[in-house]
This record gives sequence, structure tokens and C-alpha cells, in this order.
Amino acid sequence: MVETRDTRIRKVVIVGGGTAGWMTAAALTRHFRSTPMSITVVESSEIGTIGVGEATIPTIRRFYAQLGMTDAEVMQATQATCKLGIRFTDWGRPGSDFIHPFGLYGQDLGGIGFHHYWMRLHEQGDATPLSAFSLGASLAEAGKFIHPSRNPPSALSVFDWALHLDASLFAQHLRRFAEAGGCERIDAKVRSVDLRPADGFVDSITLEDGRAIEGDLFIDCTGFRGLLIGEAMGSTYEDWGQWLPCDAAFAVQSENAPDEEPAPFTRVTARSAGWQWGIPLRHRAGNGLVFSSQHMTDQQALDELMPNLLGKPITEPRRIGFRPGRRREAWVKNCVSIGLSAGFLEPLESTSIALIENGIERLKSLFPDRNFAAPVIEEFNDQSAREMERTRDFIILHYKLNGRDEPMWKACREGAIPDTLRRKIDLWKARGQFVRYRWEMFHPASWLAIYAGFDALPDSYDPGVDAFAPADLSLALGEMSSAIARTVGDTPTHARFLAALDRSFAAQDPS
Amino acid sequence: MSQTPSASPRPLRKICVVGGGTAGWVAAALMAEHFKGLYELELVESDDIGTIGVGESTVPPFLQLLAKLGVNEQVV
Repeated sequence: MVETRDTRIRKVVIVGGGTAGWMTAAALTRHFRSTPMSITVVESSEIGTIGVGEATIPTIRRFYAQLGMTDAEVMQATQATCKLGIRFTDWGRPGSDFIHPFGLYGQDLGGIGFHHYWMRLHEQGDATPLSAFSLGASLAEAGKFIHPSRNPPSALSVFDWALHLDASLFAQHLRRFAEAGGCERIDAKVRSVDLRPADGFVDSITLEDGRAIEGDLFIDCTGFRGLLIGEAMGSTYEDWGQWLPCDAAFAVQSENAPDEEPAPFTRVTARSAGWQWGIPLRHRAGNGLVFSSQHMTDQQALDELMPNLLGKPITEPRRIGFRPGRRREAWVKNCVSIGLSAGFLEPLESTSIALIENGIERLKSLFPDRNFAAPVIEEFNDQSAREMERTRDFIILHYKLNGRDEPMWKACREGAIPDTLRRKIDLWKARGQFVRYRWEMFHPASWLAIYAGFDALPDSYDPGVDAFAPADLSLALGEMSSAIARTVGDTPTHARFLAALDRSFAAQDPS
Repeated sequence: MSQTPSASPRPLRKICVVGGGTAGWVAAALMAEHFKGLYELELVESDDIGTIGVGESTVPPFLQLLAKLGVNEQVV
């Protein structure tokens, strides 16, 4: 393959400047720094962004670390708090409560997963909850926070953390970074997308003031609308409503609870036909209710949401309608979709920003030239589709395992699920093992957290566990949970961690 | 799925390995190590039947296998 002419991408045009647009702009500006490639973001200050994606998963920290940003810098810029996991309330049944942590449970022994030993412990009559073997979950329950050890001495010390952040402030921070790196910003609405008659590639976009913006590669970050990928390129939408009944949300900002320290976890609480989120930031809290409009009117949704906010409301509740699903082809010709234009899943596991990150990583690793080779596009689309499906299956799992009585929940429990998920649940039930697929965002420890949190345990544990004498097992597991309890006892509260962070900012910047 | 998993009500009792070449003895050794006497383990082989035994180059995971079995690689 001899290079005969320069076919490098010369200009990238990103359409839409919400979270997805500015994350993409910042990452590409950094990745292609000191190359001649130019990057332009076209956004309109008249178009609002969704920007309610306030809970993240730990990959966000890797994302901004690649841009050279520190945790402290991003936390200061985005009014962030620390997140060790998600607290699920009333899902398994009303009154049930568990944390899905970012981290591991216990220590595997003799090549057998820890959870088999824990199940055997239960059979012996010891009811220690699984969370007592997870440092991340135990810290979260105690309202504590500390940075994880850089070189964890054992699996017991392994946990990770993410941020609760103000997504609009995050986008602004990334915008400053991208613009400082040479990214051009145009504030305008798009009037039309103009295709080349010969091959149907995007030639340019025409703005409302008549200007035409040309480019080699166009990135659609226009949100649900999919202005380029859907409306112009005709990539259709695969709807997953048959598995995921929720199709709307109300989002509302509130004050934080006056006498409560900010929790180091996201709250998700099951309601009669959906679920409510609660996310503590430094300056306010984010709240919302995701619900099924077939099972609940808007007024009923508001009646369940508004009395249960983390604090006094400070905005009017905003309604957002959505369709769970994905763009069949996330990349068509010279148009790539990233963010909500590529697909949507309800924010139950805080995946929206992570899906943006992975879309950006995929684009970087498969970055095209102006030949737009078909295998590159096919690989991108295959990876995107698989990742969305795996994430979808993990979300559906929560609905499938629920133990509530209301009609929507009953229908979810009894309804069909995708074959890929069926296979996972069946193997878990039969043998307590995890089916692994490529491009999964959630690893076995996360699946274990949900299964155990919903009391959906396998019929029997691994037979190899019986090679250990019951007394030895009690002793070994007792040592694990005591070690975790000691660490939790020695760790300061999340609020103290944040206060120390504030003092370090104040020391740097006396103004 | 149940809330109180137990040992399987129909556990295996005896494992029989048929054939004593490389595969047979590696399988028997690994199971003996993993199950620590949990099952009766028997290997059937015949001195009259030769083994292939030409697989003499290995990949790095072979060293992990030896370590698992507590075999000193110097001795091997």
C-alpha cells in the first residue's frame, strides 16, 4: 500500500456543542495537536443542551487525564462530588437497598470466584452481606471517601471512583480547553446539510446566515435529533421499547439537603412506574424521574418526583421524551455520530457520558483518511452496536429481576428479554458463572452486584468450594470483612475529603 | 434462582480419566489439585497403547500450569 497522494483528513466539523460535542472537540484537539488538521464546532447558543448527565462512571477520569487534567482541577471546575457507586432502593422489593460499587468483592481462592465462597458462608448460617466484602460499597454506605491505593496490596483494596458533576460546567471547561488548543467555534444554527450528488457524502453544512461550512469528516453531536446521521444520511433507529418501557423523564434541580453531607453515591429509587435519581453536587443537587408514559401521566410522575427531591426545588421540572435504542449505523460515509445521536439508554447506570468517551476512543483508534475505507466504517459500526447492546442488556437486567407489584414492573419481570441476556441469566442460575462478551462496559463484579442486590442467586455454588473446611472458610472470609471494616473506620468522611480539596484550591488561588 | 444457594443436591461422585498420555495426566493432576480429594479420581491407561507425546514446545501459560501444580520448573 504505497501512498501516492495525501489523503489525510484536513478538516473535522463537529455539529452540536453539548457534552458530546465538546468532549469530542477536546479529545480530538489534543489527539491531533501539532498536526495541520483543523477542528470546528458549530453550536447555537439558542439551542439548549440536555446536560442532565451528571453521574459518571470511573472511565471519565481516564478521559480527562488524557487531556492532562487532574481530578482536583475538574472537580473544582464542575462543582463535583465523589461517587463510589450507585445506591438502589426499593428495586428488589419495596424496602430493599444495596450499592453497586465500582470495585471488586472479596478475594478469589483457588481459581474459584469469591461469590461462591460467600454463598457457602450463607448456607452455613452466616448472613454477612456481600457489601461487607467490598471496600467501595462499604465506604459508600458509611459516607466516606479516600483515593484508592495506587498499588493495591490485594483484591480487597481494589475500588474505583467517578464524579457527580455539572455537565454544563464540564462542557464549558472542555470548550475552554479545545479553544485554547486551536479549535474554532461558530455560534449559529444549521439550516441545511448539503450532500455531494456524486456519492452522497456530506459536502458542507449551510448555516442560517447563509455561510457554508465545508469539511472532510462531520461528527453529529446534535443529540436525539440526529440532524446529520439520521435526517441527512438516513441511518435508521432501532427501537428497544419492547424491552425498556420508560420513554420520558422529568429533570429538576434542587438545593442539597440542608443538614446532610453529600453522599458519595448516586441514588436511584424505584417508583411505581419508573425510578427516581438523586445526584448531589457541591452547589446544588440534580433530581429526576424516569418513567413509562404508558403507565403514568405527567401529573402522576410529578406527584411522585417533587415530594422526594434531595432539597428545595430551584428550577421548574423539565420534561424530556426519549426512545431507548441505537442508530443502526453510527457511521455512514463521512458522518460519524457520537452521543445521543448514536443512541440512548436511560441513565440508570450512568452510561451516557461513558458511551460518548468510548465513541471518541473508537473514532481515534479507527480514524479514517479521505478514502473512508469500508472495513474501518464496518468495524466502528460493529463495535458501537455491540457495546450499546451489552449496555442495554445490563440495564434490562434490573427490570427483569425486580420484585415489585405494580403493572409496569410485573410486565418487565414476566416479559421477553434479548437472547444475549437470556444466556447470561441462564448460566448464572445454573452455575453461578458469567458469560463474557466483547465490548462490555460492565464486568462480572457489576453483574454480581445486581444479581446479589436483587437476591437472584444461583441454585447451587461451585462444588470446588467444598474442598475447604467450613471453619477455615469462616475464618478466611471473616478476616476479609474485618480488614475492610478497619479501613472504613480509618477513612474520613466524604464531606471532609471535599473540605480538604476546597482548602487546597483556596491555597492556590487566594482571590 | 433462590435466595439460599446450597451445595448441588446431585454432586458428582467419581471422575474417570480415560487415557494416560499428556492430556490425561495433566487433566488428572489439575483436578486432583483443584478438588483436593473431593471426588474419587481414577485414570485408566494401557501400557500396550503408545502415546503421541510429540507436543514438546509450549506457550508461556504452561509455566503458570506448573506453578499451580507446585511443580518446580528447574526439575522439569
